[in-house]
Amino acid sequence: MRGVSLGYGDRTVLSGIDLELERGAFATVTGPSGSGKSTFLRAAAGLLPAESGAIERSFQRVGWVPQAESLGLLHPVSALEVASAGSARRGRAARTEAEAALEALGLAGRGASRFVELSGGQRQRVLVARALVQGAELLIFDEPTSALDDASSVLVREAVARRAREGATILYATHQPGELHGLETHRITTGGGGIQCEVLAWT
Amino acid sequence: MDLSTFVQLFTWPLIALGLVALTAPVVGAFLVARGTAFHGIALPQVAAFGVAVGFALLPFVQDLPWTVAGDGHSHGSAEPSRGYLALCAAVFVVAALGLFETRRGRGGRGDQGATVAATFAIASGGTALAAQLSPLGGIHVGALLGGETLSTGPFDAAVLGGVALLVLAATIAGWRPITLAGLDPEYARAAGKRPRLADLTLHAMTAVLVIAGSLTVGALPMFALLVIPAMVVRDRSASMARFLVAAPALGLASASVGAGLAFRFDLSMDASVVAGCVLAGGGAGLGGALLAVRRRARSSVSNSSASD
Repeated sequence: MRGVSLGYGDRTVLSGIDLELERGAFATVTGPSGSGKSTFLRAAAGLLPAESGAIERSFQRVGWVPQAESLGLLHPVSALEVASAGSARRGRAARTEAEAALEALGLAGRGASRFVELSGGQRQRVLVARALVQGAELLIFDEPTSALDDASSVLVREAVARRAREGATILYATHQPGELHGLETHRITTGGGGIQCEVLAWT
Repeated sequence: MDLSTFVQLFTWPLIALGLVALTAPVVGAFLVARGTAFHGIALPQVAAFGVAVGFALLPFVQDLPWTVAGDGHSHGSAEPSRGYLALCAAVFVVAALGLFETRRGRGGRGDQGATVAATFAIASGGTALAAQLSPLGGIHVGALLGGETLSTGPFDAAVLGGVALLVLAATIAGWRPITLAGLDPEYARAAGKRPRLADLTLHAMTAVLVIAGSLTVGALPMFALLVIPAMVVRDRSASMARFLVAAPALGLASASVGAGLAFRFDLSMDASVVAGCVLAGGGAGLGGALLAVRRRARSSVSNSSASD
């Protein structure tokens, strides 16, 4: 991002963003509520155009896990169908991959359940599974553990850590940057209408 | 009239009805899942509006070679060709879909719902006005809206057969991207899954089906078959794949019940199809409820046994 401003209509939320993230980086995104974390992540995912400046992405595939569910819950989809929607494979291979991802996130045997019948935390984990099976080069998580209990949060962090070790680039919004100790290479802090990027451990 | 005579006399209408009963619930399933079921009500009315306007404009365009049917005249008035009427309907249906899509982008689903409702109201009133400008059109559109399944012939059935093949092929190839585009368009965009293309595919399926169906079997069966089977089976489907199989199965059952009612009680086929949807849907709903009660009862019995 070079000289980027982001906002909605007449309201500019973030401005003067100059940021470059290299492949394989693990950047946490922190900041007070309402400071623009989600706005920044949506722009990185290609969901929000820049009001000014330029955003260049070298990633072909982006996995996106939103904070709040934006799913159309009138769809009678199963958890497995939601999770496998991210897979680049087809048929049985996609289902097998999605089942494995659900199992790793503590949802073994819940694939056949209707998505709408799952609890909020379970739905969140299904969305994480969907992003993980995508094989995306850039994964963006907007507070993925905010609605989860401690045990489920550990499962999510372990799954994200595995993808990071496989070389994926991660943007991870959280109110607790310490939860990802040892993985972070960059820390992006939003606030005051802008962002600060601190390089922690990057070679 | 005995059953075999009924089937012999109305072979083509029954085939046409069966094809619509198979395909309309499939498209309807996507519309219901997206919360846009009212499109299934508004669009056939818009198609009828297009046809009424086509009749009203015919005196001004009848010199164009493809607008008038056969020898060109019947009872002193020009008869429009099927292609001309289909084109008129298509222009209005495509315009309506474009308007719905524009409103969805601006205000979200709530705003779109009001737009669809207003479109239905305008199309209804416009149809009546345009029909007054052309008495022949008024008769034709009245039959179209009231239902004209029994007047369908082999050509209509062939057109519906082609439409059915297109819709089913598009569904088999594209149900996952169409589902994802409706379920989570933001995720689909971020992942490069091209949700707009999936939306356009669904709109094209809807437009083609509504135009062909409304002009052959009539708007009344279209209203019912687009919406009712999908609404009944949605909450009983454990997955989208099962939903897309169950909806047309109930559609075919509904059409069969409707045809049976028409035969048994000598009723209008089109209104009977609507009644068939209600009866078959009600039966399916009741059956599903009874199964659920039975499952719960078994579950509580096995829980009691386990605790003993």
